[in-house]
Amino acid sequence: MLLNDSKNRPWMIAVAIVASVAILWFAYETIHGGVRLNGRSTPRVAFGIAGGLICLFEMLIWPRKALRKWGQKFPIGSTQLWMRAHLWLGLLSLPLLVMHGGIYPWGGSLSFWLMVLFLAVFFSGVWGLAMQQIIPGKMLKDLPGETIYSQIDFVSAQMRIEAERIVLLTCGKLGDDQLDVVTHSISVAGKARATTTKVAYEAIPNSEPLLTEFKSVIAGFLCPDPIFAHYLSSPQNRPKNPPRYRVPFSPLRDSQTAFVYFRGLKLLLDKAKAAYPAVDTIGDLCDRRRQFYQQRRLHRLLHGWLSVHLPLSIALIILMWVHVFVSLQYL
Amino acid sequence: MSPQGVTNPRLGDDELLFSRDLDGRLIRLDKATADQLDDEVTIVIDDRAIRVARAIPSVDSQGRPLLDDVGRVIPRATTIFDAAEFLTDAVAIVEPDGTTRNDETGRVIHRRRLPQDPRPARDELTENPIPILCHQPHLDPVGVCRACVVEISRIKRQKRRTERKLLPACQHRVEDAMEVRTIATSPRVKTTVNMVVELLAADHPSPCLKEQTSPGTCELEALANRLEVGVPRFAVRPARTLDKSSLLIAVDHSACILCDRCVRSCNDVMDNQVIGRMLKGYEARISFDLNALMGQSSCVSCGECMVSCPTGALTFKGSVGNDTFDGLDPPAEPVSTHQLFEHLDPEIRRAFSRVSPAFLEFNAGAVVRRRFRPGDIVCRQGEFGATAFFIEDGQAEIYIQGSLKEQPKDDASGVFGFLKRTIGALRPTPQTEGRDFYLPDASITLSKENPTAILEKGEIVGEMSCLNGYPRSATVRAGLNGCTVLEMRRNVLDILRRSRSFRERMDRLVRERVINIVLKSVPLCSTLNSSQIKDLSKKAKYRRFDPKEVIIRQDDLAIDPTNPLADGMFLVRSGFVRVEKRQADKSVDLNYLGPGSYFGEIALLSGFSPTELGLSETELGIDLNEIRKLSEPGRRTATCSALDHVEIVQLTAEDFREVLKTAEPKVKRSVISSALARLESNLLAARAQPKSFDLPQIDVENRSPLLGEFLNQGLMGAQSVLVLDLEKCTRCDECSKACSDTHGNVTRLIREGLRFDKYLVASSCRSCHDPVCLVGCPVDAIHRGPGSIEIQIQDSRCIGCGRCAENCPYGNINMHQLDELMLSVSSEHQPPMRVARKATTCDQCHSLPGHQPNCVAACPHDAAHRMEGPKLYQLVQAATDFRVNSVVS
Ligand code: SF4
Ligand code: SF4
Ligand code: FES
Repeated sequence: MLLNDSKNRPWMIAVAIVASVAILWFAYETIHGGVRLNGRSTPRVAFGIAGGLICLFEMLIWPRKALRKWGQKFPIGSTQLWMRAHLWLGLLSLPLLVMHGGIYPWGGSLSFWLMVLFLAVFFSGVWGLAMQQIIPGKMLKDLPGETIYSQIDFVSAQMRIEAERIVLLTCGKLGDDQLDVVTHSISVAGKARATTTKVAYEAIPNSEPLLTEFKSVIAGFLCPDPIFAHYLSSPQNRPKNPPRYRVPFSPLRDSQTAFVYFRGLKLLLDKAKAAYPAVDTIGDLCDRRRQFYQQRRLHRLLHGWLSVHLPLSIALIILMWVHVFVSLQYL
Repeated sequence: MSPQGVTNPRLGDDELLFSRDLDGRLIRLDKATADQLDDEVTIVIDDRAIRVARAIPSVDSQGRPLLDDVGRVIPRATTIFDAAEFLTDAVAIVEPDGTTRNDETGRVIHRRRLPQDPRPARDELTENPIPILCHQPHLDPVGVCRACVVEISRIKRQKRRTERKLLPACQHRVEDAMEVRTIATSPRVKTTVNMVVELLAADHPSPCLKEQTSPGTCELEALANRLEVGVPRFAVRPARTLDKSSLLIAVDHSACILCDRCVRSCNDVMDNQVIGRMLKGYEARISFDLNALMGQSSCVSCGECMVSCPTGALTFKGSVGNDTFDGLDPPAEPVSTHQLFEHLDPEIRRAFSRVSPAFLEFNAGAVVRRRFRPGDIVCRQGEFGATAFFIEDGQAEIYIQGSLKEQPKDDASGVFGFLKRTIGALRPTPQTEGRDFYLPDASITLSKENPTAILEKGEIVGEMSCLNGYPRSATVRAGLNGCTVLEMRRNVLDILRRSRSFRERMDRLVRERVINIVLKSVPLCSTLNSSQIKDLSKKAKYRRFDPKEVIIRQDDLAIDPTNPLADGMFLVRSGFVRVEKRQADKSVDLNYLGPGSYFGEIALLSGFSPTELGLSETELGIDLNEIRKLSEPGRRTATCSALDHVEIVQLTAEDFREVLKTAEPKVKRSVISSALARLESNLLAARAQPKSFDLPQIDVENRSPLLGEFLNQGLMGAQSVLVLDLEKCTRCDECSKACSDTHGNVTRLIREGLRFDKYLVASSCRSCHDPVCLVGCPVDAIHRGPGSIEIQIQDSRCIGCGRCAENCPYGNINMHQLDELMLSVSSEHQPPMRVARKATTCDQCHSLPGHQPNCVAACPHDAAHRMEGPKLYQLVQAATDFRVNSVVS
């Protein structure tokens, strides 16, 4: 969620006020008492209870998300309200729980580990928040060709099929066979059928370098597995769980080297200038494929923190209950 | 060329010598030419003379004219059967002076009774005397059954020469001084047609499947009965195969008479290209794809072939659900097919006479009867209606009121009110609340007490919004004695429109109503009294434009007697118009105009003087010379073309001046000052077009300007477009998941689409002003909700033909393959229908409490929004201006 949003202002002000009041109270009590406040002092217990409740509330966003269907039926608040509350109360919990822990040192080993866990959860969340401020904007600017994350493999395979067709039309053949098998997908009003035909295409003279380069470099970069690519041309045969392929090391992975590569390819095709538009189109497909690669990287950055934040949060809640139980023994 | 000389774009030039239909039959025919559209001939059919043009415009099954590459009407030769149809229609729509007007051609048909005609003047020709079997007026004739043969004589040098052969009337062209005798007057023709029908009947099981389910519906058997053919004297052929593989349609090859109606319906009307003919002689039969079983072919089960089959060769296996009319007040009473065909009112009987009984049975309950008490509301202005009403009895009154606004009602007070508001605050707030129902034609309030028109028995009402998807433009109330109406679905109206006479009647009605409504509601005409409006309506023209059609062209003369189509000014009734200016070698988009606006006035105003407008220069307060300075007098300043389907009322320059002269001074001033403002802003817009968002990877030179991008994406017509702010969107997919949760685990939203500035225009229905998806659904399963804008697909009706998915220009309808075969709500008489797939589209979660689309509610990052297209444009333009200003400063 973007912090730079006017809808966050009331939350920001409220959190700032509550945090300031809490800090002032803590400071006042410390200065007034002349000693470090102990764990049973009113402010520390109050901050502990408030912080603990916040942590519990923070955890509730998980079932809220899982049971989102309830949100349609019962007035349990909008997802945005929950998200803002999660974010701002989460931020508020830091001063409260740090003061609850007596700022420093954090007491016995249980309290110590609890605080470490809390800080890990807190900062993983802050990291996630920071990513949300930066990465969507970066994706907007750098990835005009992005697609749905889970569809990257499918779209890449389709791009390979498209590139194959272009090469076929330009070079007259794809394989060693003079006639090539082309799978056409025919979509009749949303219902797809596939027909396979053998066709011979008229080649642009001297366009062989394109075929050679396509086979050795381009095809593998677009989609490493040709079988998978052809599966996709008939949507009813789409594999449910497509195999994941690593993008091979290739000059096409970097825009600069790709630029040099395609310029070189055009030089090789010096005697087949009619093939240049085909090279440009294939260049565009590779450019989009490169964007997918970057999209994957950015997507992991954008969502990867959750795999730290969530398990640590669960551990935190468990440890928090232990802490409550242990603390109650001392009361 | 098709048999009637219409060039078939699917065929190459080398075939032009012969006309050839899709199945490869070669027929030698000359092409009809444009000048034949005005070349009239007199032909006498059974002693009745009629003057008809040698060619008429080719139209599609809905009567829309077919145009060639340069936008000219494609002529097709008038056949003897057409002439007989004109003759039959002429009786039905004859005017008091004895003339009838055929609006499609704009020509007056004179019907002359010959002295020897012993029969009464009216009503005896309500049925075309020429029987047809393989032909249908909305199909290209192929002349294979020969049931329509007639005897043709020509008068040459005062001598009458009768053709030796009998010729098919459905295909034979009219010629001057041609005399035709049909089964009604020629024993020779009668004997021959009887023989043809007897031969066909011998090759057809009697009663066939259709006749067994609903007696009287097999056209062949009905014709045999009409001609009193009796039991065929020829040996009956052994039964052929029965193909039950399709879920929707049973194919009985024994009952097929190879009339080709299904082939043409599938290929020409629906453009599905599934059915063809195979083999020859006794073996000949229809086939699906390359001789596949129907259920295994690429058939999309639209039912068009089954509806057009004259016999029981193609019959439906179940009928569509008919729960739409449930729970209405007054309640809907079922009307049987026979009641419609035998209706006492000749207008209604006539309208339904060409409708296939199979269609009505398949769509059982698509026509219902409702009895309204005096003062009951039949339909309400502002509501989206999917039905039209035929007044069967009594009277109805039409009212036009002020524009409607959907107001969220929250008027509860006290403790409950407080609680409701508090809980409401916790609930997701609808982001589309308070949106306007766009009411193009009611910008001023007319008296609620005085009806603007009284509708009598036999009239039709409610057809406009039923056909164009816009809200009802008037309220219809039952008259003093109440009224009984036949309420019918849109698909029934579509089928009725296949009949030329019904279509012409309805088009005439629509034209009159649109002109009337537009003139009564524009401020420009607010000072005109009703007789002035009436006079003006007679002179005003109603015109329809398809997307991309040019309405006026830059630099053309605004007053041009040689080009009346471009003369005068234009009031937009529905649709959107693009205004663009050519500069050097490229076009710049200046603006777009929506319903309720007008254009073309600038070039006219530049030619007027203040006195011509009935005011002195000082009274006017605006210098008309200013307009002359900014534009070339009398010439169009920009090109205006249709962005979608546009309806326009055109006033001539003379009428515009008259109207302006009688208008109030403040109206005059407002028209002139807004013309000036338009000119100035156009000049500015042409100079500096804001560019779209600064995306470094896009070639800066090739970026289309913002407005062009907006119009090209069709966003101007979106009433509720789902956009994702890509700066905020974390691609978490919560919106798609929420959508799939709401709709049985099938998402109706795809988080892909074109970008508009920083927004992703997601693939989800945008509730267009002009919902082209509604056009042509064979079972009327898709429409808007009655009081809201969303498109709803009725699961119990949808037969999964995919027509709507093909029609939606934005790919927002998906066909969903069903795991289990879906059973529709069955009617009392028919087994439930089974289909393999259904269409799905975003219905804006109208069934959820609060009606808030769940995609928007589920977005935790405030990235998903639904809004009107123009609002999106404003947002982006404001942000772009801000960026430009901050760079400049
Ligand atoms: S389905 Fe398509 S055409 Fe129909 S209203 Fe929605 S976006 Fe428009
Ligand atoms: S809703 Fe669409 S798919 Fe369903 S029957 Fe109508 S046009 Fe066909
Ligand atoms: S109707 Fe004319 S030949 Fe069949």
